[in-house]
Parts: sequence; C-alpha cells; structure tokens
Amino acid sequence: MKLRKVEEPACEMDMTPMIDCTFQLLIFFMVAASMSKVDQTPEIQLPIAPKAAKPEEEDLRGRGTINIAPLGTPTAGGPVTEDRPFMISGQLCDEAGLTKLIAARAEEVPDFRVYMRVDKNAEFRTVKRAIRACANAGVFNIIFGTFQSKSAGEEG
Amino acid sequence: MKLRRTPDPKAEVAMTPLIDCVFLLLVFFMVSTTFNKAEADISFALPGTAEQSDSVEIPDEQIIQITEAGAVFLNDMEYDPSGDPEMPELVKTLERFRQTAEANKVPAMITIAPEDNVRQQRVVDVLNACTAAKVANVTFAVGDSDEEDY
Repeated sequence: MKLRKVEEPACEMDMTPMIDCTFQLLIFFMVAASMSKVDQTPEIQLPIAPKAAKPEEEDLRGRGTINIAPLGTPTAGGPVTEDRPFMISGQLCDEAGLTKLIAARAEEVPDFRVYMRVDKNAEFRTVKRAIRACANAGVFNIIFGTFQSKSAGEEG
Repeated sequence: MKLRRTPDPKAEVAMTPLIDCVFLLLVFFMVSTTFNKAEADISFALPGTAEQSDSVEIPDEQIIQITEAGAVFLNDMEYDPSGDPEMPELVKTLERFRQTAEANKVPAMITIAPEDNVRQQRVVDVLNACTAAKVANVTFAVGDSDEEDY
C-alpha cells in the first residue's frame, strides 16, 4: 500500500513581537532625540553651580546664546583665538561683530536676554569682553549656563 | 463540464520593505540621539541707564574681588581660603549683609570684580554663593581702568 505523505506546515518565524519591539525602540529614540533648543557646543564644559535654577519652558524664549571656550580650543570653524573668541551658531566672531549681532537680535526680540555658555576653564578676560559687548548693544540681562551637579557636568 | 476552481494565491502584505525602513529610522535616531543634560541658569543684571525722572534708590553695595589664584576678598578680608566651592563663610557674611540692607530698606547689591585671568568656575562659585544668600542684585565690574564700571 502506498501512503501519501502529509505535507508539513511551512515553518515560519513569527515576526510580530520583533516588529513590536522595534517600533517601541523607534518611538523611544524619536522622543528622546529632542531637537536642541539652545545652540549647544559639545566642546564647552559648563561650570557647576548647585544653587542655579533650572529654567521653565517659557523662560527659554527670547534668549540668544553665546558660547565661550578657552583660547586655543579647536572648533569646526578653526581654533578659538584672542581676536575671535565668541562662538555663535558654530561661527567665531569678534567683539564688534558680537555687539552688532546682539543689537540686531535685541531689536527683533522683545525682552531679549543673553545666555552665555562659558567653559569652566575660560578666563574672565574673555567673558568681560562679552559682557561689554552686551552693554554696548543695550542688553543688560545676562544668564550664565551651568550644571547643577557634578554628575550632570562630568560627562560630555 | 465542471471546472475545478484554482485557489487564489494568498494576498499578503510584503513586510520586508517596511521593516527595512523601520530599522533604518531606528538606527538613525539611535545614532543622532544625544541625551542633553539639563542646564541651569545663574543670572545677573548689568546696571542700565535710569531715566532722569525716576527716583533712584541708592543701594547698599559691596564689592567682591577675585584674584588670579582664585582667592575671594570682601572688604579686604579673604573668605574661604580652603577653596571650598560652596563658600560657606562668604554665604554667611552675604546673608548678614542682605538682612542688614533689608532692615535699612535699601536694596542689597553685590558687584563682582574678578581679575582677568580668573577661571569661570571661580566666578560661578561666587555667583552661586550670592544666590545661596538670596542676594538678587548682582553685577560685574568690567569697565577698563579709565572707564566707568558697566
């Protein structure tokens, strides 16, 4: 007697849990990758100030960011020099250029404030020039960027 | 004659391109994500120009000097020579200064005058001490020696 072979059911991998996991991860990273609101430069290590206050969401509006790294720090636009120590949106500029930029922004934005991200090892000489540029441009409210704790400031 | 129906091939959605796309997006977001650490503010205001008609309150002003080595002086007295970033001695003195100014109904004001080579961390330590002592009016002396302070 001849027996007919019973066809085995096709052996298939169940993809559903994998796709579920992948979507979960995708959404997590999409949410975590918040597009940075301030002009952050990774070269700058902010100083630590435990008593500094974390700003509210609405408090972040109307700010212009100036990055100040120690002299000689390499950046995308060349090393930081005595002549052009201020970094705005990745571009280095001098004191006169900074004054112009601040004055232009202050005219556009009401209640404009300058947010200075100064490296903890930067010298006050450079910060002083930035403060003077703000005063010459008619902006008197200045904020220093800091980290509240060492653990937040250590990495990156 | 009866014809046997041939069964239609199963209609299936091709998942492969979708999964490819999803993986691509996943890898993109994984690579581009940098977990931004929350930054905190420590603010000060430069003295602005006052209108002539405004009545100006003369504030009780103290000047804190920071030397190149990071030593902090107030009224020619050095505070926290140990270099403690929390500056407990300075905080206590500033708190007393603020209370005295409040009792006299004048605003307490601190002007920080760091030397040129002082590191930003030391300047922020002093600002931090002012915030701890709840002194709100803090400014900097940044004018050249022959100019007025801003």
